Amino acid sequence: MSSSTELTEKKVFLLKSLDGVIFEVEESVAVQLEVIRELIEGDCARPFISLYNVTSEILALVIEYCKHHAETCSGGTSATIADEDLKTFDNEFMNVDENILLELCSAADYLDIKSLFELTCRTLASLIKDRTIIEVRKMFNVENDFSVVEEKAVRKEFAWAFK
Amino acid sequence: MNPYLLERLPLELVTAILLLLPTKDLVRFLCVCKTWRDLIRDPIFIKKHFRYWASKANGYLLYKSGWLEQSRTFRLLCDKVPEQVLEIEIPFEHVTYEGVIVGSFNGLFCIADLYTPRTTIYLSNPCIRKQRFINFPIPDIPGIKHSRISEVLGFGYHDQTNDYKIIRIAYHEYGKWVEDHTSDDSFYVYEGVKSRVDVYSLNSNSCRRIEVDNFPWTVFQVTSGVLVNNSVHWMALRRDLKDEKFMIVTFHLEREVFQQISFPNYSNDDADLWECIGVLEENLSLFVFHDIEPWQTCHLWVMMEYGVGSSWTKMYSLCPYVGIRTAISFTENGEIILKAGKNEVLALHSKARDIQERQIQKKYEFNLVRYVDSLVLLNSDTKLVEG
Repeated sequence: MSSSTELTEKKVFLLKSLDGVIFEVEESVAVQLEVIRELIEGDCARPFISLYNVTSEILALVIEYCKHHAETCSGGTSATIADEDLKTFDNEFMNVDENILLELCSAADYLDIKSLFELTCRTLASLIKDRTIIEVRKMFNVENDFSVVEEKAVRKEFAWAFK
Repeated sequence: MNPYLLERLPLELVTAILLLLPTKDLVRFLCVCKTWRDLIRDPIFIKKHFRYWASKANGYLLYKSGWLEQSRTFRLLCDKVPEQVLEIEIPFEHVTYEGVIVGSFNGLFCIADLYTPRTTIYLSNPCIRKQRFINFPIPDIPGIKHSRISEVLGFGYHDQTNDYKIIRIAYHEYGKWVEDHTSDDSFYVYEGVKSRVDVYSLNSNSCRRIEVDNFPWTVFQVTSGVLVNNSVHWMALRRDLKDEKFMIVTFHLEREVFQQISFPNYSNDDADLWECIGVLEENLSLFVFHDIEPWQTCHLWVMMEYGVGSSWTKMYSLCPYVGIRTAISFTENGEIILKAGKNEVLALHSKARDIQERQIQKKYEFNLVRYVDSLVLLNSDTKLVEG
């Protein structure tokens, strides 16, 4: 970002989660959250920002993700090594409970972190790929609002897909 | 779970996740709930989905003109791994095993059976096993017998309206034989043409007759799916000029008008000149080869600026080591697939100029069209014919 940050003291932001936990993050990490980067660019960023849609458990993970990505990208390592490192980190980072994944995906969407959003979407897609309908309903917490006849009709129309 | 997730994941998140799934899973997930069903059936979702999959996979469908040993299957070969072949069954009721693919866009194929007493046309998306029979009116040109009418088909996709159109041109040329007393010979003089053009639109699921004042072209390609600049292209001969001239006739899918594009200027002295049109990197392209034994020369021409005759640019000329019989397909990654020698298949790259032999199943006389995993035609209410 701006070159002045290297010399002057590091700017920090305080991010407050839904359940009131406050996290202190450096600007290089905060700007990975597109919502905050926009505030900073618009000169509207206050040092204290409340994030109403993210719990402390998820925000801690989001910050861990952004920190690692910020450090790896600015670490001066070659692009290929950084890429490999991020891949390994991302893979391990995604090794969490399904509910956490869904919340991370939602948080990445709300905080506008493109790479994390894509990563969680890809992970969720590969998780549900071969799941049964009942498992998918449970995971996404959706109710079956089809009547028995309606559901049967869809299953019959596309019987080949259920084999 | 976070109560602020409103107990459910917002729909745009579900959309982002589902876009990454192949069609087979999406078809299953139609039964998750009504919201998911409506989302998966939404034309905007369907368009986003095939765009994503088209950018990811380069599939080509290998097919025989005429069905493979009456098994009604298509063979899919992956562009990256040509040895990998997947068979897709087409559960049609009416085909006479002589189907040809007019064109393919976004996983939707236009298949015509040209040898039934009148042309039978289907739209098919084999990956979701949906098809629609298109009931085209019998070409009726007053005063002309059906057997004397020439039929030409075209297929194209119009991005802005997200519509697929089939063009059927029916025409009959008339003229008279004139005796040349000096040479004791007689020759044919073209006098005019009677034509009729019908266009089918998938969005409206109906055929409409298009008024065309004059159709002064004899079209050489019975079918075409060569789409550039929202227009379908056929190679043709302009008949009503003093000097008959080869050119490309075009039909604009939105404006629904015919226009023409001239060929590049190359020597037309050799009688054995073979041409094939296609699309390379979104440009109209022309592959030409002279068939003069024992040598053969190929040229690749690309129209750099669409519709501008002077922008035809010769990319290369070369002499292949085997006799090329025909060009089958221009692929998305810039290759021209050729049939050569005795059932050999060659790939000629538009940039590298090198000819590579491709191990494509050679048993069959085949053709090649682009294939994308897609949900197009999902909403077709046509009764599904069980395979």
